[in-house]
Amino acid sequence: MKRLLAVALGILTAIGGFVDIGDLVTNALVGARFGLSLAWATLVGVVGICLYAEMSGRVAAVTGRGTFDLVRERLGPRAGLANLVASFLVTALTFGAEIGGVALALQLASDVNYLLWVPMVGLALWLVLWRVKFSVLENVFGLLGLALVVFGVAVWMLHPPWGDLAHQVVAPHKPAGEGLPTYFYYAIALFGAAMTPYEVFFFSSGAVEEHWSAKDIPIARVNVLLGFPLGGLLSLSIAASAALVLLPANVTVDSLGQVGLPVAIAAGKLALAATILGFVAATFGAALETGLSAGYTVAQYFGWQWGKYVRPRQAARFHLVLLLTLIAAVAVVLTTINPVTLTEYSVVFSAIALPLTYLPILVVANDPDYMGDRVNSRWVNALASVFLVVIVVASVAAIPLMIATKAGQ
Amino acid sequence: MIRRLAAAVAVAGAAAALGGCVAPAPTLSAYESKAARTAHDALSAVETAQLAFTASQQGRLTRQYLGVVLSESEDAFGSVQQTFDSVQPPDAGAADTMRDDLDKLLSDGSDALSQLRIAARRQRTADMAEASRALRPVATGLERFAREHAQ
Repeated sequence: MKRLLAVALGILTAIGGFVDIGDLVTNALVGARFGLSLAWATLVGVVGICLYAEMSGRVAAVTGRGTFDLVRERLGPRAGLANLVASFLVTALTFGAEIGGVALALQLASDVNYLLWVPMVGLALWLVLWRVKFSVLENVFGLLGLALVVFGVAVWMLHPPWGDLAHQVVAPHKPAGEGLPTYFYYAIALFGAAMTPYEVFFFSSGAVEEHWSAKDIPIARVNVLLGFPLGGLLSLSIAASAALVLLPANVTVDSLGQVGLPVAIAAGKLALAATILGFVAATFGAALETGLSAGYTVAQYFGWQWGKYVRPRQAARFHLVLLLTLIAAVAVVLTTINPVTLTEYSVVFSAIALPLTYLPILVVANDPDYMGDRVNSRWVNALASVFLVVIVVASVAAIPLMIATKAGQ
Repeated sequence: MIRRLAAAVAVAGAAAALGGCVAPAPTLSAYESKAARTAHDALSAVETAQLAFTASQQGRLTRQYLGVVLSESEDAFGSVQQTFDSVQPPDAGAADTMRDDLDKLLSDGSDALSQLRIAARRQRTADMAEASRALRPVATGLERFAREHAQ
């Protein structure tokens, strides 16, 4: 019974923790502009994140070591450093976007300018990262993030033409008036939002934090293979709600307030309150994950003691990196850069950095010296190789498409 | 490897900067395209405000949420207007006509959005309804303008 509860908790946490500011903004933006004709990009991203998250969790469970520790050892310090720099920069950018997202969500609840919330959010994050146990911060915000299920309820209450929605998903087409480059630019953005590199760092480092061993692999698989797809469904419901309410009204999403409007229109104030709670939980939880991931990447590469399973005094350099990244991220948001714009760029840059994150994981997961008989199976390698091609294509195409479409305009 | 990565980061940064830039419109066609885009973006801000107002009238939105959404719509509208005003129109009568038509809509929309935001923060329902009514012809005009000048 206890084991069953642990599995259920893991799945629920994975669902609630799947959505972050990138998913919220990108799905609503795309839904309001393209309907569900780009749902395929989210679905492809969900399959990809399931594949590589399972792989990285398995590597951590078998070796008991963090991803970057192994990447540096397996690929050498130069390749490892390239991987580290790209991953750290993208994670730090995402960290800033998440902090901005929390502040924007608090603004929606309080009508107090988000910039006034930013330092307080930074302080709250630091306190939680410093004082709160890993399992508590992972589970609490993951579970509170489940409040975003109201988007699914809203879609149902809007009485949509289900057949039409399903047709958009299974027979996608570029809407009239939109260029093909713009269509694919947003496909890459959705893909990047679903496969954000920090999710893998956090998942695998979390496995070490929680002292997983090979016997925990089946539970990890269930969490990933059930939790992430259901989280992806949550992303699709955000896109669907925008497609049903904002698209017919000619609204282009450029603020978090617009993302929640369809829920309020469909289900009223109580649902709106749940939406704001979900926004805060999802973005705050993701900010914790990105902050920790920034610390994990640097500390693991340099071989420092890291993690929350030891006292901060014993992992002083890890906590210092975490604190400095937090200060930098807060400073970036305080420049008054629009957090939604920051988010849009962070998901595209995530897509650009994807090969540097996922290729090393694939290499390590196939190394019998580390994995013994737990190396990737043939079909996992086949699927992972196909995904690697998709990842490289998305990464290479992202910058030209960004220039050609003026960042999706 | 590090140099290549640094170059990639520099290219990505330049791409981001280029992505956000607004170029001048040297030809009538380019100017018309920018005008249509402006009308489309302004319409989005107006329709967001209208959706929020309608939801609040039905008791589906909190006062705080309404205030934020209306302020953001007003800011977005102002930003679109300012960007369009900064574009140098080509030396052609058609461009001047286009600019005058759109300027009128943008000016009316800006006034009505400000009135709506002020009335909402003062919780004056009748004034909000009046501002919302004033936004309707603006929305219709912007939609027509965007459709007629779409390329």
